[in-house]
Amino acid sequence: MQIYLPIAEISVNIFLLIGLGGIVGILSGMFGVGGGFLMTPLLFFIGIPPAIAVASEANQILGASFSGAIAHFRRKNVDLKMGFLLILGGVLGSIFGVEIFRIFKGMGQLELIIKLCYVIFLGVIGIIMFFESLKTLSYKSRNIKIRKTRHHSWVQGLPLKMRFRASNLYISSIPAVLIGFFVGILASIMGIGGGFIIVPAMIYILGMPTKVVVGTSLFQIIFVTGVTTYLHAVKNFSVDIVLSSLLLFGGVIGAQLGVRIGIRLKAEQLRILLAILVLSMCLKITLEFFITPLEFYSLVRDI
Amino acid sequence: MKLFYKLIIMIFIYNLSSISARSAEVPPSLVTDLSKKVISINVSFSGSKFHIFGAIKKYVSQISPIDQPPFDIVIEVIGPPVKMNIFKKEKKYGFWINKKIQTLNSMPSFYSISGTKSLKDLLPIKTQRSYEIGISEHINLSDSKLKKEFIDHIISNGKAKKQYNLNNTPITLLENTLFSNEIDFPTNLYEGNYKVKIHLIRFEEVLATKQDIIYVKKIGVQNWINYLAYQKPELYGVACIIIAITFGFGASLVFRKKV
Repeated sequence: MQIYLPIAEISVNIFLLIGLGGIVGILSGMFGVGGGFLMTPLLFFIGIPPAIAVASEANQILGASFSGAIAHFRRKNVDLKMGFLLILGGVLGSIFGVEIFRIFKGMGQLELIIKLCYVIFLGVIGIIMFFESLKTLSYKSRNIKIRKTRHHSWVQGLPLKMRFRASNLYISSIPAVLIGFFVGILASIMGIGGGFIIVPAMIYILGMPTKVVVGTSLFQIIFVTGVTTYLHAVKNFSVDIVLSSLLLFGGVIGAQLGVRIGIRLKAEQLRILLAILVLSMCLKITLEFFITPLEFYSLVRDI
Repeated sequence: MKLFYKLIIMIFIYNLSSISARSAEVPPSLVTDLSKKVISINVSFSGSKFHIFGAIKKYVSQISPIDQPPFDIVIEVIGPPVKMNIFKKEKKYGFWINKKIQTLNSMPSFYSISGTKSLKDLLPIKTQRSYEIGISEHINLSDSKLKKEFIDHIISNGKAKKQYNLNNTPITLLENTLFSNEIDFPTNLYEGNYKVKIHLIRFEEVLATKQDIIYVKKIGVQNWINYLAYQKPELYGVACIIIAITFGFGASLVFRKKV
């Protein structure tokens, strides 16, 4: 059954979209990763224009993260003050990112920029994941607990210090805003939540206790993806609500299944497969840059 | 199709009656119709087809059809004009990068041409120009070499193949009178009026041109979403946020109950 996507202006099989949402949902449920960095490239591969894939995916992440954020908020696992600083940075980053997006779109280089970002991002994540899962497989990591490298000296030296009760910290507000800013740019250019970056950054750079890290990051993600969705809709007309709803529909079901599968299977050992998947997607996008294109000319509507 | 057969019968009756009419030297003209006047894009839209059919109305009827000089038909379908940027991929620092060539202010969003023979065999370039027939007339690219390359490339083997269709199957002209042509609309159609131009050609001259219009519109949810997204983007943005949140939250409620 085909469905016509009103903004992407193409017709796609409805079950393909729900299925993609479901598979990525399962993976994210199993491994506790956000689906954005898997979903967006898959959308490129099925022929969704990158600009629309990115903006619609930001909208999907908003929906997918919302219930998680509520749950953490109820359990008071959110450092609100830190969250607001991250959101401040995130919103600024998103405004900046959407502007970059618009400029590159006008220059016809948007696809290149999005894909380049993905090559770097998928490459780095894939390699880290691959080696981490190798370690897990060789049971070496059993002895290594997460080292608590409490706030680096350069973080300590920065001005504008603030007290964060929930995290039990007294640190500068600058790094939090900067981290938020960076993740905001990623959200708007790549259509990802950025949990993959923000969580380690909170632990290693800010020195936040792991208890509040996930909740705070989800809290920031819903605000930043919300703002990103809005900005893309207003500035680039690139949010396809039919696309994001279908992905969300498959995604939420998939995520529930994924959590259940993750509990039964030794998901950590399957992580290497995820790493290989990520690396092969990276390779596929990279090759497109170098293989002589089939079509030299392209027409892009000027809005 | 019923309409088509009806038309065939009509034409035969018409021809019989015109034999007795014996009018003076009036040039032949065209009688045409479209199988659809309106194409609606709804949620389940996956492309559409329509037929253009018609007949050549001849006044000099003493001569048997076989002896008449062969008529040729060219049918153009021209979509609503949109502003488009043309990019060309060029190799830079080892990888392929888009280079903007030109902005075309009114490029047809769709173009299809079909005929009993290919246009270049029927009309000299000069005549094509004066009658504004052919895709070339619609592309205002300043560099003529680039223009030729562009037309050859994007239109004959690109993604845009269905959007700019120059390689249609030839039209057959039955008894030098009847013709029909199927147009295959792709899924990425723009809303608006699509001009259908039917040209009657003989001896490198355009004897008659008939124009008709097929209207493509988005209907239902599709139209509604498009209106919001492009006319009220602020409202649309907020709606997207609310829908996503409702979806995510609703799903988590459903699953919580089951566990």
